[in-house]
Amino acid sequence: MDTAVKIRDLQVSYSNETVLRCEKLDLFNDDFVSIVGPNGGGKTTLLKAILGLIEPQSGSIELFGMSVREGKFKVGYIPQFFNYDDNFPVTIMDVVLMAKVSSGIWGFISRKEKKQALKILSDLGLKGLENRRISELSGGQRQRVLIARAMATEPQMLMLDEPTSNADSAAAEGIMELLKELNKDMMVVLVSHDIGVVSKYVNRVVCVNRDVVVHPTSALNGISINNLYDSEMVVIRHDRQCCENKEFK
Amino acid sequence: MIDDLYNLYLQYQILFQAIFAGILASVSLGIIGTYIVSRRISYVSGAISHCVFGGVGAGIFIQNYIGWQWFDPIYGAIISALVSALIIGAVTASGKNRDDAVIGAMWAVGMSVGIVFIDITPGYFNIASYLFGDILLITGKDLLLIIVVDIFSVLAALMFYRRLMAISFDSEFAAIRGVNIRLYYILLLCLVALVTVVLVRIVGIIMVIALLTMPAAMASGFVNRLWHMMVISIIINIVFVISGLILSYHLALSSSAIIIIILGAFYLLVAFFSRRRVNTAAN
Repeated sequence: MDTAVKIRDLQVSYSNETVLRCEKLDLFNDDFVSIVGPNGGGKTTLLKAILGLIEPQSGSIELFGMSVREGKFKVGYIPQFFNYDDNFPVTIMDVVLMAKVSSGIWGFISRKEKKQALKILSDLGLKGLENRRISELSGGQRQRVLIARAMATEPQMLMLDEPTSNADSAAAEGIMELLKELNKDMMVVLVSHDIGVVSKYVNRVVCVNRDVVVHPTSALNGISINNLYDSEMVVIRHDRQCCENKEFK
Repeated sequence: MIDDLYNLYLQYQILFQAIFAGILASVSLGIIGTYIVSRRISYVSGAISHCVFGGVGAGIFIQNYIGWQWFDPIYGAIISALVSALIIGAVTASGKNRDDAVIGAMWAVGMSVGIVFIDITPGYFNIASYLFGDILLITGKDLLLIIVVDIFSVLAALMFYRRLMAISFDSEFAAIRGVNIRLYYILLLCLVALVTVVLVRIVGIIMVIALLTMPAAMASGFVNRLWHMMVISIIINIVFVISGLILSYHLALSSSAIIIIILGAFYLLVAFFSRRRVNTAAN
Protein backbone atom coordinates (compact mmCIF):
# COMPACT_ATOMS: atom_id res chain seq x y z
CA MET A 1 0.00 0.00 0.00
CA ASP A 2 1.59 3.31 -1.07
CA THR A 3 1.55 6.32 1.18
CA ALA A 4 -0.12 9.26 -0.55
CA VAL A 5 -0.02 11.78 2.29
CA LYS A 6 2.74 11.60 4.87
CA ILE A 7 2.77 14.18 7.66
CA ARG A 8 5.37 14.34 10.42
CA ASP A 9 5.52 16.70 13.42
CA LEU A 10 3.39 19.33 11.72
CA GLN A 11 2.58 22.55 13.53
CA VAL A 12 0.54 25.43 12.13
CA SER A 13 0.14 28.69 14.04
CA TYR A 14 -1.58 31.97 13.39
CA SER A 15 0.02 34.88 15.27
CA ASN A 16 1.73 32.63 17.86
CA GLU A 17 -1.36 30.57 18.60
CA THR A 18 -1.03 26.97 17.52
CA VAL A 19 -4.18 26.01 15.64
CA LEU A 20 -3.08 22.58 14.45
CA ARG A 21 -0.67 19.91 15.64
CA CYS A 22 -0.13 16.62 13.89
CA GLU A 23 2.58 14.29 15.06
CA LYS A 24 2.07 11.58 12.49
CA LEU A 25 -0.48 11.03 9.75
CA ASP A 26 -0.29 8.56 6.88
CA LEU A 27 -3.01 8.30 4.27
CA PHE A 28 -2.88 5.63 1.60
CA ASN A 29 -3.53 5.50 -2.12
CA ASP A 30 -6.88 3.73 -1.95
CA ASP A 31 -8.20 5.32 1.23
CA PHE A 32 -11.61 6.94 1.56
CA VAL A 33 -11.01 9.27 4.49
CA SER A 34 -13.18 11.73 6.31
CA ILE A 35 -11.72 14.57 8.34
CA VAL A 36 -14.13 15.45 11.15
CA GLY A 37 -14.07 17.84 14.07
CA PRO A 38 -15.71 20.93 15.54
CA ASN A 39 -15.73 24.29 13.81
CA GLY A 40 -12.46 26.10 14.38
CA GLY A 41 -10.78 22.80 15.23
CA GLY A 42 -8.40 23.01 12.29
CA LYS A 43 -10.04 20.80 9.61
CA THR A 44 -9.71 23.38 6.86
CA THR A 45 -6.25 24.35 8.11
CA LEU A 46 -5.10 20.74 7.68
CA LEU A 47 -6.56 20.70 4.17
CA LYS A 48 -4.90 23.97 3.22
CA ALA A 49 -1.56 22.85 4.60
CA ILE A 50 -1.74 19.69 2.48
CA LEU A 51 -2.55 21.83 -0.60
CA GLY A 52 0.29 24.28 0.08
CA LEU A 53 -2.08 27.22 0.61
CA ILE A 54 -0.60 27.90 4.04
CA GLU A 55 2.96 27.46 5.27
CA PRO A 56 3.30 25.38 8.42
CA GLN A 57 5.64 26.68 11.15
CA SER A 58 7.38 23.34 11.43
CA GLY A 59 7.19 19.73 10.34
CA SER A 60 6.95 18.10 6.95
CA ILE A 61 4.27 17.11 4.46
CA GLU A 62 4.90 14.75 1.56
CA LEU A 63 2.41 14.10 -1.22
CA PHE A 64 3.02 10.95 -3.27
CA GLY A 65 6.65 11.00 -2.15
CA MET A 66 7.12 14.59 -3.37
CA SER A 67 7.11 18.01 -1.77
CA VAL A 68 3.76 19.82 -1.53
CA ARG A 69 4.91 22.19 -4.30
CA GLU A 70 5.10 19.36 -6.83
CA GLY A 71 2.65 16.91 -5.30
CA LYS A 72 -0.30 19.35 -5.16
CA PHE A 73 -0.75 18.96 -8.93
CA LYS A 74 -1.94 15.40 -8.29
CA VAL A 75 -4.65 16.58 -5.92
CA GLY A 76 -8.09 17.49 -7.28
CA TYR A 77 -9.41 20.06 -4.83
CA ILE A 78 -13.14 20.69 -4.43
CA PRO A 79 -13.86 23.72 -2.24
CA GLN A 80 -17.12 24.58 -0.53
CA PHE A 81 -19.54 26.08 -2.99
CA PHE A 82 -20.86 29.07 -1.10
CA ASN A 83 -17.57 30.88 -1.66
CA TYR A 84 -18.70 31.75 -5.18
CA ASP A 85 -20.33 34.81 -6.57
CA ASP A 86 -23.62 33.87 -8.25
CA ASN A 87 -23.37 36.85 -10.58
CA PHE A 88 -20.03 35.78 -11.99
CA PRO A 89 -20.61 35.08 -15.68
CA VAL A 90 -19.08 31.68 -16.35
CA THR A 91 -20.52 28.60 -18.01
CA ILE A 92 -20.13 25.08 -16.64
CA MET A 93 -17.61 24.44 -19.42
CA ASP A 94 -15.55 27.51 -18.38
CA VAL A 95 -15.43 26.22 -14.81
CA VAL A 96 -14.37 22.70 -15.77
CA LEU A 97 -11.67 24.03 -18.10
CA MET A 98 -10.19 26.08 -15.23
CA ALA A 99 -8.44 22.80 -14.45
CA LYS A 100 -6.20 23.55 -17.44
CA VAL A 101 -5.58 27.17 -16.50
CA SER A 102 -1.81 27.05 -16.51
CA SER A 103 -1.32 25.27 -19.85
CA GLY A 104 0.18 27.51 -22.55
CA ILE A 105 0.89 31.23 -22.45
CA TRP A 106 -2.13 32.37 -24.48
CA GLY A 107 -4.38 30.14 -22.45
CA PHE A 108 -6.39 28.85 -25.40
CA ILE A 109 -7.98 25.47 -24.85
CA SER A 110 -7.30 22.63 -27.28
CA ARG A 111 -10.07 20.60 -28.87
CA LYS A 112 -8.78 17.53 -27.06
CA GLU A 113 -9.12 19.23 -23.67
CA LYS A 114 -12.67 20.30 -24.52
CA LYS A 115 -13.56 16.77 -25.53
CA GLN A 116 -12.12 15.40 -22.31
CA ALA A 117 -14.14 17.94 -20.29
CA LEU A 118 -17.37 16.97 -22.08
CA LYS A 119 -16.67 13.30 -21.33
CA ILE A 120 -16.16 14.04 -17.63
CA LEU A 121 -19.38 16.10 -17.52
CA SER A 122 -21.38 13.29 -19.07
CA ASP A 123 -19.79 10.72 -16.72
CA LEU A 124 -20.93 12.83 -13.76
CA GLY A 125 -24.49 13.16 -15.04
CA LEU A 126 -24.16 16.74 -16.26
CA LYS A 127 -24.50 16.08 -19.99
CA GLY A 128 -26.03 18.94 -21.97
CA LEU A 129 -25.48 21.52 -19.21
CA GLU A 130 -22.07 22.72 -20.43
CA ASN A 131 -23.32 26.08 -21.73
CA ARG A 132 -25.47 26.88 -18.71
CA ARG A 133 -24.47 29.50 -16.21
CA ILE A 134 -23.40 27.91 -12.94
CA SER A 135 -25.99 29.87 -10.93
CA GLU A 136 -28.78 28.05 -12.82
CA LEU A 137 -27.88 24.71 -11.24
CA SER A 138 -29.04 23.10 -7.99
CA GLY A 139 -26.73 22.66 -5.00
CA GLY A 140 -26.05 19.02 -5.80
CA GLN A 141 -25.35 19.77 -9.48
CA ARG A 142 -22.95 22.59 -8.56
CA GLN A 143 -21.04 20.21 -6.35
CA ARG A 144 -20.78 17.83 -9.31
CA VAL A 145 -19.44 20.64 -11.51
CA LEU A 146 -16.67 21.25 -8.98
CA ILE A 147 -15.96 17.49 -8.89
CA ALA A 148 -15.81 17.58 -12.72
CA ARG A 149 -13.31 20.44 -12.57
CA ALA A 150 -11.18 18.46 -10.12
CA MET A 151 -11.42 15.33 -12.34
CA ALA A 152 -10.21 17.38 -15.33
CA THR A 153 -6.92 17.93 -13.49
CA GLU A 154 -6.38 14.15 -13.80
CA PRO A 155 -5.82 13.72 -10.06
CA GLN A 156 -4.69 10.75 -7.99
CA MET A 157 -6.52 12.10 -4.99
CA LEU A 158 -9.76 14.04 -4.56
CA MET A 159 -9.97 16.44 -1.66
CA LEU A 160 -13.38 17.87 -0.77
CA ASP A 161 -14.38 20.53 1.76
CA GLU A 162 -17.90 19.87 3.10
CA PRO A 163 -19.23 18.35 -0.15
CA THR A 164 -22.69 17.64 1.25
CA SER A 165 -23.36 20.90 3.09
CA ASN A 166 -25.28 22.60 0.25
CA ALA A 167 -27.19 19.59 -0.99
CA ASP A 168 -30.43 18.10 0.33
CA SER A 169 -30.20 14.62 1.82
CA ALA A 170 -30.99 12.78 -1.43
CA ALA A 171 -28.41 14.82 -3.34
CA ALA A 172 -25.92 14.30 -0.51
CA GLU A 173 -26.35 10.53 -0.76
CA GLY A 174 -25.92 10.84 -4.53
CA ILE A 175 -22.64 12.71 -4.10
CA MET A 176 -21.38 10.15 -1.60
CA GLU A 177 -22.30 7.29 -3.97
CA LEU A 178 -20.43 9.07 -6.75
CA LEU A 179 -17.37 9.49 -4.53
CA LYS A 180 -17.54 5.81 -3.62
CA GLU A 181 -17.47 5.01 -7.33
CA LEU A 182 -14.52 7.38 -7.92
CA ASN A 183 -12.70 5.86 -4.95
CA LYS A 184 -12.19 2.72 -7.06
CA ASP A 185 -9.65 4.70 -9.13
CA MET A 186 -8.34 7.28 -6.70
CA MET A 187 -8.03 8.23 -3.10
CA VAL A 188 -10.78 10.42 -1.62
CA VAL A 189 -10.36 12.74 1.36
CA LEU A 190 -13.24 14.84 2.56
CA VAL A 191 -13.89 17.29 5.35
CA SER A 192 -17.30 16.93 6.89
CA HIS A 193 -19.12 17.89 10.05
CA ASP A 194 -21.79 15.39 9.03
CA ILE A 195 -20.47 12.16 10.52
CA GLY A 196 -23.90 10.56 10.08
CA VAL A 197 -23.86 10.85 6.28
CA VAL A 198 -20.22 10.05 5.64
CA SER A 199 -19.42 7.33 8.15
CA LYS A 200 -21.01 4.51 6.17
CA TYR A 201 -18.84 5.30 3.14
CA VAL A 202 -15.41 6.03 4.53
CA ASN A 203 -12.89 3.51 5.77
CA ARG A 204 -11.02 5.85 8.07
CA VAL A 205 -11.78 8.93 10.08
CA VAL A 206 -9.26 11.63 10.95
CA CYS A 207 -10.38 13.60 13.99
CA VAL A 208 -9.08 17.14 14.17
CA ASN A 209 -9.48 19.27 17.24
CA ARG A 210 -6.17 21.13 17.41
CA ASP A 211 -4.61 17.64 17.57
CA VAL A 212 -4.97 15.07 14.83
CA VAL A 213 -6.08 11.52 15.72
CA VAL A 214 -6.84 8.73 13.26
CA HIS A 215 -9.53 6.08 13.74
CA PRO A 216 -10.76 3.22 11.62
CA THR A 217 -14.51 3.75 11.20
CA SER A 218 -15.35 0.87 13.53
CA ALA A 219 -13.38 2.42 16.37
CA LEU A 220 -15.59 5.51 16.30
CA ASN A 221 -17.80 5.31 19.32
CA GLY A 222 -19.75 7.66 21.48
CA ILE A 223 -16.93 8.33 23.88
CA SER A 224 -14.37 9.38 21.26
CA ILE A 225 -16.88 11.62 19.49
CA ASN A 226 -17.86 13.29 22.76
CA ASN A 227 -14.20 13.90 23.54
CA LEU A 228 -13.68 15.36 20.12
CA TYR A 229 -16.55 17.80 20.30
CA ASP A 230 -16.24 18.48 24.03
CA SER A 231 -19.98 18.01 24.54
CA GLU A 232 -22.67 15.35 24.45
CA MET A 233 -23.36 14.24 20.89
CA VAL A 234 -26.09 11.98 19.62
CA VAL A 235 -24.31 9.18 17.84
CA ILE A 236 -26.04 7.08 15.23
CA ARG A 237 -24.09 3.97 14.49
CA HIS A 238 -24.21 2.29 11.12
CA ASP A 239 -22.99 -1.04 12.36
CA ARG A 240 -24.22 -2.90 9.34
CA GLN A 241 -21.98 -1.01 6.92
CA CYS A 242 -19.33 -0.13 9.37
CA CYS A 243 -16.99 -2.97 8.67
CA GLU A 244 -13.34 -2.38 8.84
CA ASN A 245 -12.02 -2.92 5.37
CA LYS A 246 -8.50 -1.90 6.04
CA GLU A 247 -5.95 -2.71 8.62
CA PHE A 248 -5.55 0.20 10.98
CA LYS A 249 -1.98 1.37 11.22
CA MET B 1 -22.18 84.26 -41.74
CA ILE B 2 -19.01 82.47 -42.79
CA ASP B 3 -17.55 83.20 -39.35
CA ASP B 4 -20.61 81.59 -37.73
CA LEU B 5 -20.25 78.48 -39.85
CA TYR B 6 -16.57 78.29 -39.08
CA ASN B 7 -17.27 78.60 -35.36
CA LEU B 8 -19.90 75.91 -35.60
CA TYR B 9 -17.39 73.66 -37.36
CA LEU B 10 -14.84 74.36 -34.65
CA GLN B 11 -17.37 73.60 -31.95
CA TYR B 12 -18.35 70.33 -33.56
CA GLN B 13 -14.74 69.46 -34.20
CA ILE B 14 -14.21 69.54 -30.46
CA LEU B 15 -17.34 67.46 -29.94
CA PHE B 16 -16.25 64.91 -32.53
CA GLN B 17 -12.81 64.69 -31.04
CA ALA B 18 -14.40 64.10 -27.63
CA ILE B 19 -16.68 61.40 -29.04
CA PHE B 20 -13.68 59.75 -30.71
CA ALA B 21 -11.78 59.79 -27.40
CA GLY B 22 -14.84 58.37 -25.62
CA ILE B 23 -15.16 55.48 -28.08
CA LEU B 24 -11.45 54.65 -27.77
CA ALA B 25 -11.52 54.81 -23.97
CA SER B 26 -14.60 52.56 -23.86
CA VAL B 27 -12.50 49.62 -25.07
CA SER B 28 -10.09 49.48 -22.11
CA LEU B 29 -12.86 50.63 -19.80
CA GLY B 30 -15.10 47.70 -20.76
CA ILE B 31 -12.32 45.12 -20.45
CA ILE B 32 -10.84 46.30 -17.16
CA GLY B 33 -14.25 47.26 -15.73
CA THR B 34 -15.36 43.66 -16.26
CA TYR B 35 -12.47 42.37 -14.18
CA ILE B 36 -13.07 45.02 -11.50
CA VAL B 37 -16.74 44.14 -11.14
CA SER B 38 -16.32 40.37 -11.32
CA ARG B 39 -13.48 40.49 -8.81
CA ARG B 40 -15.27 43.03 -6.63
CA ILE B 41 -12.39 45.48 -6.35
CA SER B 42 -14.18 48.68 -7.32
CA TYR B 43 -13.07 50.36 -4.07
CA VAL B 44 -9.48 49.70 -5.17
CA SER B 45 -10.06 51.72 -8.34
CA GLY B 46 -11.57 54.48 -6.18
CA ALA B 47 -8.43 54.56 -4.02
CA ILE B 48 -6.13 54.60 -7.06
CA SER B 49 -8.04 57.46 -8.67
CA HIS B 50 -7.74 59.58 -5.53
CA CYS B 51 -4.02 58.80 -5.31
CA VAL B 52 -3.82 60.12 -8.88
CA PHE B 53 -4.65 63.53 -7.45
CA GLY B 54 -1.48 63.34 -5.36
CA GLY B 55 0.46 62.71 -8.57
CA VAL B 56 -1.28 65.55 -10.37
CA GLY B 57 -0.41 67.90 -7.48
CA ALA B 58 3.20 66.73 -7.55
CA GLY B 59 3.23 67.25 -11.33
CA ILE B 60 1.95 70.82 -10.98
CA PHE B 61 4.57 71.47 -8.27
CA ILE B 62 7.42 70.08 -10.37
CA GLN B 63 6.31 71.94 -13.49
CA ASN B 64 5.83 75.33 -11.87
CA TYR B 65 8.01 75.41 -8.76
CA ILE B 66 10.98 73.32 -9.82
CA GLY B 67 10.54 74.50 -13.38
CA TRP B 68 10.60 71.28 -15.42
CA GLN B 69 8.21 72.55 -18.07
CA TRP B 70 8.14 69.20 -19.89
CA PHE B 71 6.76 67.43 -16.82
CA ASP B 72 3.05 67.42 -17.62
CA PRO B 73 0.91 66.62 -14.55
CA ILE B 74 -0.34 63.56 -16.50
CA TYR B 75 3.10 61.97 -15.94
CA GLY B 76 2.68 62.53 -12.22
CA ALA B 77 -0.76 60.94 -12.53
CA ILE B 78 0.60 57.84 -14.28
CA ILE B 79 3.45 57.39 -11.77
CA SER B 80 1.23 57.86 -8.71
CA ALA B 81 -1.43 55.50 -10.13
CA LEU B 82 1.11 52.74 -10.73
CA VAL B 83 2.83 53.26 -7.36
CA SER B 84 -0.48 53.16 -5.51
CA ALA B 85 -1.46 50.00 -7.44
CA LEU B 86 1.80 48.33 -6.40
CA ILE B 87 1.34 49.37 -2.76
CA ILE B 88 -2.25 48.11 -2.67
CA GLY B 89 -1.15 44.90 -4.39
CA ALA B 90 1.66 44.32 -1.89
CA VAL B 91 -0.48 45.13 1.14
CA THR B 92 -3.60 43.18 0.20
CA ALA B 93 -1.94 40.11 -1.33
CA SER B 94 -0.45 38.97 1.98
CA GLY B 95 -3.92 38.88 3.52
CA LYS B 96 -2.51 39.75 6.93
CA ASN B 97 -3.61 43.37 6.98
CA ARG B 98 -6.92 45.14 7.21
CA ASP B 99 -7.33 45.66 3.47
CA ASP B 100 -10.29 48.01 3.71
CA ALA B 101 -8.58 50.28 6.24
CA VAL B 102 -5.36 50.44 4.18
CA ILE B 103 -7.26 51.22 0.99
CA GLY B 104 -9.40 53.85 2.72
CA ALA B 105 -6.26 55.47 4.16
CA MET B 106 -4.57 55.60 0.74
CA TRP B 107 -7.74 57.09 -0.75
CA ALA B 108 -7.61 60.09 1.62
CA VAL B 109 -3.84 60.45 1.94
CA GLY B 110 -3.40 60.53 -1.86
CA MET B 111 -5.92 63.33 -2.12
CA SER B 112 -4.34 65.28 0.76
CA VAL B 113 -0.84 65.05 -0.71
CA GLY B 114 -2.19 66.56 -3.93
CA ILE B 115 -3.81 69.46 -2.07
CA VAL B 116 -0.61 70.24 -0.13
CA PHE B 117 1.49 70.22 -3.33
CA ILE B 118 -0.92 72.66 -4.96
CA ASP B 119 -0.91 74.85 -1.81
CA ILE B 120 2.88 75.19 -1.81
CA THR B 121 3.09 75.92 -5.54
CA PRO B 122 2.74 79.67 -6.13
CA GLY B 123 0.00 80.77 -8.52
CA TYR B 124 -3.52 79.64 -9.28
CA PHE B 125 -4.26 76.30 -10.94
CA ASN B 126 -7.53 75.07 -12.30
CA ILE B 127 -7.83 71.70 -10.61
CA ALA B 128 -11.49 71.33 -11.52
CA SER B 129 -10.65 69.61 -14.79
CA TYR B 130 -8.86 66.88 -12.80
CA LEU B 131 -11.58 66.56 -10.17
CA PHE B 132 -14.53 66.56 -12.54
CA GLY B 133 -12.83 65.82 -15.86
CA ASP B 134 -13.56 67.45 -19.17
CA ILE B 135 -13.64 65.30 -22.23
CA LEU B 136 -13.96 68.44 -24.38
CA LEU B 137 -10.46 69.50 -23.29
CA ILE B 138 -8.83 66.26 -24.46
CA THR B 139 -5.49 66.85 -26.21
CA GLY B 140 -3.55 64.86 -28.78
CA LYS B 141 -1.27 63.62 -25.99
CA ASP B 142 -4.30 62.31 -24.08
CA LEU B 143 -5.52 60.48 -27.19
CA LEU B 144 -2.13 58.82 -27.53
CA LEU B 145 -2.33 57.71 -23.88
CA ILE B 146 -5.82 56.30 -24.44
CA ILE B 147 -4.60 54.29 -27.45
CA VAL B 148 -1.60 52.90 -25.54
CA VAL B 149 -3.83 51.84 -22.62
CA ASP B 150 -6.25 50.22 -25.09
CA ILE B 151 -3.42 48.20 -26.59
CA PHE B 152 -2.29 47.01 -23.13
CA SER B 153 -5.84 46.10 -22.10
CA VAL B 154 -6.62 44.16 -25.27
CA LEU B 155 -3.30 42.30 -25.10
CA ALA B 156 -3.86 41.40 -21.45
CA ALA B 157 -7.40 40.24 -22.20
CA LEU B 158 -6.17 38.02 -25.03
CA MET B 159 -3.08 36.64 -23.35
CA PHE B 160 -4.28 36.17 -19.80
CA TYR B 161 -8.03 35.71 -20.29
CA ARG B 162 -8.24 32.22 -18.76
CA ARG B 163 -5.83 32.97 -15.94
CA LEU B 164 -7.49 36.23 -14.94
CA MET B 165 -10.90 34.55 -15.15
CA ALA B 166 -9.78 31.59 -13.02
CA ILE B 167 -8.20 33.89 -10.43
CA SER B 168 -11.27 36.13 -10.30
CA PHE B 169 -13.64 33.17 -9.95
CA ASP B 170 -11.60 31.05 -7.52
CA SER B 171 -8.11 32.26 -6.69
CA GLU B 172 -7.43 29.36 -4.32
CA PHE B 173 -8.02 26.77 -7.03
CA ALA B 174 -5.93 28.78 -9.51
CA ALA B 175 -3.09 28.87 -6.97
CA ILE B 176 -3.20 25.10 -6.54
CA ARG B 177 -3.05 24.73 -10.32
CA GLY B 178 0.23 26.64 -10.31
CA VAL B 179 -0.90 30.15 -11.29
CA ASN B 180 1.09 32.91 -9.60
CA ILE B 181 -1.98 34.70 -8.30
CA ARG B 182 -0.06 37.54 -6.69
CA LEU B 183 1.73 38.41 -9.93
CA TYR B 184 -1.51 38.45 -11.94
CA TYR B 185 -3.31 40.45 -9.26
CA ILE B 186 -0.61 43.11 -9.39
CA LEU B 187 -0.72 43.06 -13.20
CA LEU B 188 -4.48 43.59 -13.04
CA LEU B 189 -4.07 46.47 -10.54
CA CYS B 190 -1.52 48.14 -12.84
CA LEU B 191 -4.02 47.93 -15.72
CA VAL B 192 -6.68 49.39 -13.40
CA ALA B 193 -4.21 52.20 -12.63
CA LEU B 194 -3.65 53.04 -16.31
CA VAL B 195 -7.36 52.98 -17.12
CA THR B 196 -7.97 55.19 -14.10
CA VAL B 197 -5.55 57.83 -15.43
CA VAL B 198 -7.38 57.81 -18.78
CA LEU B 199 -10.69 58.18 -16.99
CA VAL B 200 -9.44 61.05 -14.86
CA ARG B 201 -9.07 63.07 -18.07
CA ILE B 202 -12.57 62.13 -19.19
CA VAL B 203 -14.82 62.12 -16.10
CA GLY B 204 -12.47 63.24 -13.33
CA ILE B 205 -11.14 61.67 -10.15
CA ILE B 206 -14.40 61.72 -8.26
CA MET B 207 -16.48 59.96 -10.92
CA VAL B 208 -13.99 57.32 -12.11
CA ILE B 209 -15.44 54.61 -9.91
CA ALA B 210 -18.92 55.04 -11.41
CA LEU B 211 -17.81 54.70 -15.01
CA LEU B 212 -15.61 51.71 -14.20
CA THR B 213 -18.32 49.74 -12.44
CA MET B 214 -21.82 50.60 -13.69
CA PRO B 215 -21.50 49.48 -17.35
CA ALA B 216 -19.88 46.17 -16.41
CA ALA B 217 -22.39 45.57 -13.61
CA MET B 218 -25.24 46.25 -16.07
CA ALA B 219 -23.72 43.88 -18.62
CA SER B 220 -23.27 41.08 -16.08
CA GLY B 221 -27.05 40.60 -15.87
CA PHE B 222 -27.35 39.63 -19.54
CA VAL B 223 -24.42 37.35 -20.21
CA ASN B 224 -23.18 33.84 -19.48
CA ARG B 225 -19.52 34.37 -20.20
CA LEU B 226 -16.85 36.80 -19.12
CA TRP B 227 -15.81 37.91 -22.61
CA HIS B 228 -19.44 38.58 -23.52
CA MET B 229 -19.54 40.83 -20.46
CA MET B 230 -16.51 42.73 -21.79
CA VAL B 231 -18.06 43.22 -25.24
CA ILE B 232 -21.44 44.32 -23.85
CA SER B 233 -19.87 46.74 -21.39
CA ILE B 234 -17.75 48.27 -24.18
CA ILE B 235 -20.97 48.84 -26.15
CA ILE B 236 -22.76 50.28 -23.10
CA ASN B 237 -19.82 52.61 -22.49
CA ILE B 238 -19.84 53.86 -26.07
CA VAL B 239 -23.60 54.44 -26.07
CA PHE B 240 -23.58 56.39 -22.80
CA VAL B 241 -20.46 58.43 -23.48
CA ILE B 242 -21.82 59.55 -26.85
CA SER B 243 -25.37 60.23 -25.66
CA GLY B 244 -24.08 61.96 -22.52
CA LEU B 245 -21.79 64.18 -24.57
CA ILE B 246 -24.47 65.19 -27.05
CA LEU B 247 -27.01 65.83 -24.29
CA SER B 248 -24.57 67.88 -22.20
CA TYR B 249 -23.65 69.86 -25.29
CA HIS B 250 -27.26 70.77 -25.96
CA LEU B 251 -28.03 71.52 -22.33
CA ALA B 252 -24.71 73.35 -21.82
CA LEU B 253 -23.99 71.30 -18.70
CA SER B 254 -20.87 69.42 -17.55
CA SER B 255 -20.34 66.41 -19.79
CA SER B 256 -18.95 64.12 -17.07
CA ALA B 257 -21.87 64.78 -14.73
CA ILE B 258 -24.45 64.17 -17.47
CA ILE B 259 -22.73 60.92 -18.56
CA ILE B 260 -22.74 59.64 -14.99
CA ILE B 261 -26.33 60.72 -14.28
CA ILE B 262 -27.89 59.02 -17.32
CA LEU B 263 -25.70 55.96 -16.74
CA GLY B 264 -26.81 55.86 -13.10
CA ALA B 265 -30.48 56.21 -14.06
CA PHE B 266 -30.26 53.27 -16.48
CA TYR B 267 -28.27 51.25 -13.97
CA LEU B 268 -31.05 51.65 -11.42
CA LEU B 269 -33.68 50.71 -14.00
CA VAL B 270 -31.75 47.58 -15.03
CA ALA B 271 -31.18 46.59 -11.40
CA PHE B 272 -34.89 47.09 -10.64
CA PHE B 273 -36.12 45.05 -13.60
CA SER B 274 -33.60 42.26 -13.23
CA ARG B 275 -34.60 41.89 -9.58
CA ARG B 276 -38.25 41.76 -10.61
CA ARG B 277 -37.40 39.16 -13.22
CA VAL B 278 -35.66 37.03 -10.59
CA ASN B 279 -38.63 37.41 -8.22
CA THR B 280 -41.13 36.43 -10.92
CA ALA B 281 -38.99 33.43 -11.82
CA ALA B 282 -38.86 32.42 -8.16
CA ASN B 283 -42.64 32.62 -7.86
